[in-house]
Formats: sequence, structure tokens, C-alpha cells
Amino acid sequence: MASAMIDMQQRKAKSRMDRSDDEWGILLEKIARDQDMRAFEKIFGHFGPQIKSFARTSSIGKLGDSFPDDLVQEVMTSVWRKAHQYDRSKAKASTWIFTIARNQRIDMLRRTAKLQNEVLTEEIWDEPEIDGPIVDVQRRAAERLIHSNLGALPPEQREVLGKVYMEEKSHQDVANELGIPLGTVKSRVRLALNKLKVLVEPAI
Amino acid sequence: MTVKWHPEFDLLVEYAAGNLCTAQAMMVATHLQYCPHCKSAVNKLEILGGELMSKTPNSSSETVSPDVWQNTLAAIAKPAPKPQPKRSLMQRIAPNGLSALDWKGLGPVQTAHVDLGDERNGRLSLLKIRAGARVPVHSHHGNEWTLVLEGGFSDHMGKYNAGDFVCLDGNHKHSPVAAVNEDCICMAYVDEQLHFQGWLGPILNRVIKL
Ligand SMILES: [Zn+2]
Repeated sequence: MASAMIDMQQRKAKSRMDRSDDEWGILLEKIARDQDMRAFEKIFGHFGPQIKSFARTSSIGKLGDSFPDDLVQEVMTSVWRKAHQYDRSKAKASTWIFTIARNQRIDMLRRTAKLQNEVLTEEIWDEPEIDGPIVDVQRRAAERLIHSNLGALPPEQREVLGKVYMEEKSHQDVANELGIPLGTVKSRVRLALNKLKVLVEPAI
Repeated sequence: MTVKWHPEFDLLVEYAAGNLCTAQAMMVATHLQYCPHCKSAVNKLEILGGELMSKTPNSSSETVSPDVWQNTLAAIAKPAPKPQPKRSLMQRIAPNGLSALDWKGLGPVQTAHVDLGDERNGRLSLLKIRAGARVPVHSHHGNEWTLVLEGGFSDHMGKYNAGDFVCLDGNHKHSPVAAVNEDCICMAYVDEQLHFQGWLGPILNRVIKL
């Protein structure tokens, strides 16, 4: 009994270390390794609606009905083509796909605004990952904490985060929309980020 | 030397969420190259982005039509377009080196406009302050962000070295002085217009607006 418990705990600890508990990450690896179409279909079925919702709530949704679908198609095409760049030891699948969706949303908005861009989105937004075992361990701890604590945030803190991330609003936009001072918006975000342990004061 | 001055967390959040214009994002991204602390915060904010995306209120009821899947299959069957070569941020800002930029202004403070093609919210420039020189007292109507790239400067708030990110809003007046031993090169983002006072004021006001 006792040894079975220890065995289970060890397996659990191991899966935390190598993200073997991230089924979506494993599917991305299958896409990269075998061009596995069934894995891609599962990824599409899971993340497609999320990306569509992400696009629809942002200003892309205001461009027209077809734009959120276009974003899904563009992001999923990139997921297929870039799957070999995904590294499960560095990131959860959901983080990786979020950064692709965010960057392509930026690109789509720039295209529709007819901006002449002198710089590629991924040059500014995809900085090389920081390496090192300590950082990896911290990142995994952050993933677990954010995942489990997000649901416990008070609704007003959650609302503000949603408006910034999903609706693409600045803190000032959120303040104007909710009719509350900018300081209140900032303090809600700060409280939320403290609870999620995203903010750590820099060592001086 | 470790970075002492950082962007406020709300800027990092808006950066991670992808809401900043190119000029603003360039400032934050360049700071991240100097600052593992903020880099790690941004990484966590991206993890948060993934979690929020998976829990958007309507994502469970959202449907993607089979056409989109078919179109995606057609898209991946085509050869991928050749990726554009990635360049470092400094190569984008000054492809032929800092000295090849179009520096304006004679005297101890020179500026070069950096046009990245997206100035929806404000403008990006590089500033070169000659060793020991003082920038005329100026106040801000909008926000002014400064990031030290080389050398250092100080004002009444403190000393700033490479990687330090200083944010000033409309309530501040300051007159930075470059460190005496070397020229100071900064990246600066200004939303709305900077208003310089003092003897160089009219020149700088014109230069910044060019
Ligand atoms: Zn920093």
C-alpha cells in the first residue's frame, strides 16, 4: 500500500517535471514528428473554438463575421507548420498557442489598418526563452498556480483581466468603460496578479 | 549591472496581451532583453493568457464550422511561404548602425526618429546626449518613456543605466543630465507631444515633431 502511494506520488512529481500531463503538448509533438492528422484534428477541435472566441471578443469581431474564422484558420495553419518549434519542456501547449493567436491577431489588425510595418510581430513578441533549470521549475510552478487559482479570483478582478486580454483594452479603456478610476482598475489587476503569483517585486 | 528601473506591471500586462502599438511594444521588448525579472513576469502573463483564452465565457458554446477545418486542410497542403528572416530589435531600429541614423539637432542633444510604420499612439526616437550634457527642463503632456541603451543619465529621481526603463507622465518636469564619462544613448517613446522649455526648447520641439 505504502509503496504504491509513493510510486503514485513519484509518477505525479515526474509528470509535473516533464509536462507528460499536458495531453495537448503531446499531441503537438505528434504533429511535429509524424504529421499526425488525428492529433491535429483534436488540437483543432479543442483550441479552434477558443481562438474564435478570443477573436470575436476583440476588435477583430467588429471587422465582420468572417474574421474570427479567418483567425482560427491562420492560427491553426501556423500551429501545423510551427509544431516542430514547440518544446514541451519549455511551455504548455495552451501558452504556446496563445502566443501564436495573440501575434496573429496583431498581424490581422495591422493588415486591416493598412499599416506599413517595418518590423515583424514575432521579433517584438517572441523573445527567445530564458533557459536554466531553476527557471523551468519556476515556470511549472507558475503554470499550476495560475491554472488552479484563476477560478478563485473575485469576479471584479477576473472581469478586468478578461477585458485587457480578450477585449484588447488598455487599463485606461477599461476604466472609461466601467466608469471607475484608472487606479481602481490597476489595483484590481495588481491584486489578481499577486494572487496568481505573477508579480514578484524585483530584488533591489 | 542589474536593471533597477522597470516598466509598471500594467505595461507588461498590455504587452503580454498584445495590446500595445509597435512603438510601445518595441520599448518593452527591448527592456526585456536587459531584464530577466520582467522577462519572467511576461512569461507568466503569457501562461495566464493561455488560461484566460481557454476559459473565455463563451468558448464552450463557440462552434467552428466544418468549412474552417476544410479550409485549414487546404492551407496546410500548400507549401509554407518562405519565412522572413528574423532580425534583432537593434537591427530593425538601426539596420546600418546607430551612426547611420538621421540624427537631428546640433549641440549636446540629438534625436533620430525611428519609424516602425505604426504610430497610432505615439512616436519612437533615439536620443543621444553628449557626456555630461543636460537636456533642457521639459514637462510632459502625455507619457514619455525612456530606456537607456548605452551610457547613463540622472535626474532628480535617480540614476539610470543600460536597461533602465523610466516612465514619466504629464505631471513631471525634469532635466536629465548624461553621465560625465560617456555619451548616453536612449530609446524614447512619446505619446502626444513633448514640450521642451528653456533655450533648446524650440529646437527640440521642432525636431521631435519632424
Ligand atoms: Zn524589468
